[in-house]
Amino acid sequence: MQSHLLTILILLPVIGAGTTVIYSLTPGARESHLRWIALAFTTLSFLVSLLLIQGAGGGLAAFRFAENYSWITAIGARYHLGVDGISLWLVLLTTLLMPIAILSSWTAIAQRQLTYFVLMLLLESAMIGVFVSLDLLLFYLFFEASLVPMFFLIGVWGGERRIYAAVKFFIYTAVGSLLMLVGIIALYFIHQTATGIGTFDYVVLTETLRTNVMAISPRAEFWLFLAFALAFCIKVPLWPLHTWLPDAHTEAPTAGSVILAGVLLKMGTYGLLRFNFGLFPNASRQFAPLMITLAVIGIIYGALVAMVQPDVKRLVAYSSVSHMGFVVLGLFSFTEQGMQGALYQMLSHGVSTGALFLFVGMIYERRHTRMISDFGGLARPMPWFSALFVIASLSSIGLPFLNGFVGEFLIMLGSWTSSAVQHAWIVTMLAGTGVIWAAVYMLWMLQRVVFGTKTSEANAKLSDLNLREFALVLPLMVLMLFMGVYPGPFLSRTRASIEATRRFLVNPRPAGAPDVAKGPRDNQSR
Amino acid sequence: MTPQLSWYLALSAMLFTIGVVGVLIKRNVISMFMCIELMLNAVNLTFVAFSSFFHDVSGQLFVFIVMTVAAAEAAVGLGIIITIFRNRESLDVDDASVLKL
Amino acid sequence: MSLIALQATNPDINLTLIAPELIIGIAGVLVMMIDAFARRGQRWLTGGLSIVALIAAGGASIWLGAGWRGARSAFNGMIVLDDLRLSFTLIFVVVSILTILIAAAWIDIEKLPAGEFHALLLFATCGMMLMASAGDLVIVFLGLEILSIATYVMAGFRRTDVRSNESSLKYFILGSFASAFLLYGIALIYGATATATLPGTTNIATIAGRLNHSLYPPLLLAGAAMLLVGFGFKIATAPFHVWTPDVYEGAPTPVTAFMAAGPKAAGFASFMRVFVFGFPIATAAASTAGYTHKSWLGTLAIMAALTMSVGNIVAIVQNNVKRMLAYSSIAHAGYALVGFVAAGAATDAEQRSAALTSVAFYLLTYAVMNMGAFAIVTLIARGNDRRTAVEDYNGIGFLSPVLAFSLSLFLLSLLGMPLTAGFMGKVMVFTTAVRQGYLWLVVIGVLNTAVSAYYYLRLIIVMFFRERNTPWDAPRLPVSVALALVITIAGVFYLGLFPGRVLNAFGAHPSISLSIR
Repeated sequence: MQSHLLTILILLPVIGAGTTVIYSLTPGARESHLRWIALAFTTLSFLVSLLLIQGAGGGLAAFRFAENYSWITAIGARYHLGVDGISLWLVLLTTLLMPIAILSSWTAIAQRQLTYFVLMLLLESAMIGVFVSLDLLLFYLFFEASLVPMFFLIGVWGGERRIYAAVKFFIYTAVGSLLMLVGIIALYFIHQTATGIGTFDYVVLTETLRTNVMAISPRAEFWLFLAFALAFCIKVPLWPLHTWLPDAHTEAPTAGSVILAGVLLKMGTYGLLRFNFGLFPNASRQFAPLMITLAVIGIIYGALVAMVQPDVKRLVAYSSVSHMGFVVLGLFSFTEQGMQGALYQMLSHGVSTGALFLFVGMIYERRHTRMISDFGGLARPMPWFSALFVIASLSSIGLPFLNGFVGEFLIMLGSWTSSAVQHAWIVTMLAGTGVIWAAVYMLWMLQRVVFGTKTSEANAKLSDLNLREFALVLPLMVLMLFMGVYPGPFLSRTRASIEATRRFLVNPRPAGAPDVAKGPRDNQSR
Repeated sequence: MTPQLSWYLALSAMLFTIGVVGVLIKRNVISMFMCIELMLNAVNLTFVAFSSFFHDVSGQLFVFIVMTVAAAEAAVGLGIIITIFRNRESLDVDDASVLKL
Repeated sequence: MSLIALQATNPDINLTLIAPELIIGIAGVLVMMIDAFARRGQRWLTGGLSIVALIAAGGASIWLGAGWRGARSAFNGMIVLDDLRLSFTLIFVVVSILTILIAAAWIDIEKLPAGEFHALLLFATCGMMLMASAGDLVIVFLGLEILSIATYVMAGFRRTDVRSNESSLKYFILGSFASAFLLYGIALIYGATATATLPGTTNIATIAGRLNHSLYPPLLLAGAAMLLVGFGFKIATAPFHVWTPDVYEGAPTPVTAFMAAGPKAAGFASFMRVFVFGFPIATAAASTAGYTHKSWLGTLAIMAALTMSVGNIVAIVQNNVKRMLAYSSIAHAGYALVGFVAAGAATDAEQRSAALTSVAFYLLTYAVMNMGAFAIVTLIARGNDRRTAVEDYNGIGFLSPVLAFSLSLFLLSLLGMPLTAGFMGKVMVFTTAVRQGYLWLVVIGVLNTAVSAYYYLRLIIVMFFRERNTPWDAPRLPVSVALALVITIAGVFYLGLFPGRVLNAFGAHPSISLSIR
């Protein structure tokens, strides 16, 4: 089982989907049982995925649980899976959020449950596949495949403008990734020209790059970086490619938003970190000023726009643009703190924004509105809800001792000390204002929704969280506190992989070649 | 002056062009069909001319094949034309416009 | 010594080499006879016999491929045996079997003569197979005509329906028009390949060797141009595509499915054979051969870009599903042309074989997903193709989930989403094109894929995201169509996930018999 752990992880949800379909075909099948099957399989995946942590404490940079088989011999594509420190926590985040998302759909999804749960399970497979694929073609396969279930989830179970949102989501992300396919194919032939063997294998490609067997010409690297980065930046989404996100988030069902914010956005930053940094180090450095500028604009823009949103869900959606800007900033600082922080922020954003969407979903289920102006004074009828909602919001703001703080602090530390960034302190200061803006819009929203005077009589009669809703947010709340207080276990497991990527990035010379490295700081200068 | 190969080729090219133009501008199905036959016969002339100048019989054999095929095509084509006439009693292609063109 | 005298002394007859064609031809005649004498209750007989014959022909060609040590050509080079032929023969077999399965329901509903349809289909298949196996322009022409004449009749098979009549007429007029161009091209090539001592030739391999010794090089170019126009019409490339939407819309849906998959693939088979092997890449670019090669390759690359763009952009504004799929089929011919261009530009036998394999694979994937999509369109359309407008699909997603989800799968595959056959087909074709340096063509290709998302998604949106206001009576799913759906769905996933076996089979025996000169 150990040797096929990742395949099992990818296949479990597919088997779950199959089981759901087969069950629904049996006589006497009850629609209300379907969600139990989905919950069982997602929980099982989560438990299985926990096995990935074992032995990761040593901080090995290499890929573990690797599976490497020939897939399409004619073009040398391989079925190559593996996890390292970068992908480990993202896989766990995916498997953790899935049961929660299923649980959040318990009563919200009343119609067409069979299709809904099948799509959710298939989505989980695709997402896990994205994070564990080490063959570029396989990666692209999962990357694109994750679009289709999400497209249906938004389009069938979404809000009023769901068709517009679904199409926008699909076209944006699909178009963005198509050029990446051309890039992948081009890379294949660059490798073939250099070594005589065409390959899509990420490990082989980086190996030949690092040992200088294969060299990508600066011009080719420039275009390849762009082709990959376009796909990932749309997914992140980086300003100004973010416009699909608010629509998709607002119209998606609660579970869809949780998964979208929690996992799908991370595919973008994961892709940048893994593929753009791993394959195009020179172009990455070349593009860093641009990316950092866009990231900082995104941080401030997202926060400012979030402030004026009348719709709670839209507000959280725009806050995602801001938070993901931090991640990109951290990545392109090319410092250990910044990149570690970026990875940490990816996880913590998944947890806290996921929780925020869940809370929004809960009040929407009760009142069928998400307008801030319709709420107010929720603290009295719903004390538990209010308390936990406030904690989640504070975590999103980045209050110390909650998870958001660790990531954002590390990112700013990284960008402050970064030599890849010109005028690092200005950049950091600007990004820092993002945290302040976050406090403003979040607290203002809380003040109007949770506290304040009640604007509607309907609010007085709302019921507090039920047991299911407690169960649903509790793991996330615990994680928020834990990740805020004790980030060590997470960071220690990511360090080696991040460091390996970073070392190659700032100094892409092979080990044997004359080294210009003097100190860790000097390494980063161009 | 003995006839040159180019004379035949020029004649067949002319015939072929007349056929092409006819198919493009004629509006009556039967006329269009006749123009297509003209094109095929222009080709036959080319084959025969080449064949004769090369003293090679395979070009003439090709003509036989073309003639056979043209006969089969004519049979099917006229069948189609009769069916359409039965259903709408007009042979003008402009009337055949249930489908956009 | 003339060629005929040579053939008289050595006729070089090898019936095993044309076994698949023979099986299909004889079966076609048998089906026709059975249809004439069988009673009404024995309708299923002709369909069953046809499927058996097709499977036998498929088996025969696999057997030919397996017993590779035998002759590679027969009838003095008229018939050749290589990958190009074998892979396309298998595509035709798949297409024809699926057509019979899909058409069964339609023939039943509309009370049409089944035997005639099956006989015509078998003759068309025989023509397609000959086109793929032709080593000589004469056989290309003959195969094309056998195919075309049968298809003209099939397009007009719904005799009392005016749309079907018109479709048939337009197909006939433009088809014969294209054939005449093709034939004129053959005649000019025949004249142009004459040398000082030898008469002209129509043998494709011999043409390649004569290019630089031609007495009349301008005729050669003119002939090649005529061939290009003729084939361009047949496989519906822009700007010779204008007949396609009308013919595809008017023809009965199963016939449309067949025309979009089978004859188009057959056209590609001959087109590639004639141009890639007849006018191959030349070592000396300044020679006549080099000039000819450069001219057709450049033209074809532009045609490919044009075909993809026109097909996809015009498809967006279509409101009839059959018409939309017709434009989509034009676009897909464009993608396949990208692989063809790569095959033409390939400098060594291995790369050329890979490119040809990618085109064959692409056309196989297209055949499978296209037949699947049309199977569902047939069912939804009902008798006389009444329901083919996009509005007719409003909100049927959860009312007929099996049909709607299958159709969505095929549409996503046509769009080229990963996990499906369409994606792998595109990857293969684009990979070979990038390898030959046609990056710009590939970029145009992927941008077109993005454009195509609009109209493929539109149908999915209509089916799933809209509510139905008018009553919907779900069509019954007949066994034959269900079987076709199972085959196509399995095919879409199999080719999308594990294309290795098929690719290896298609590329097992590169055509070394016709090496580059």
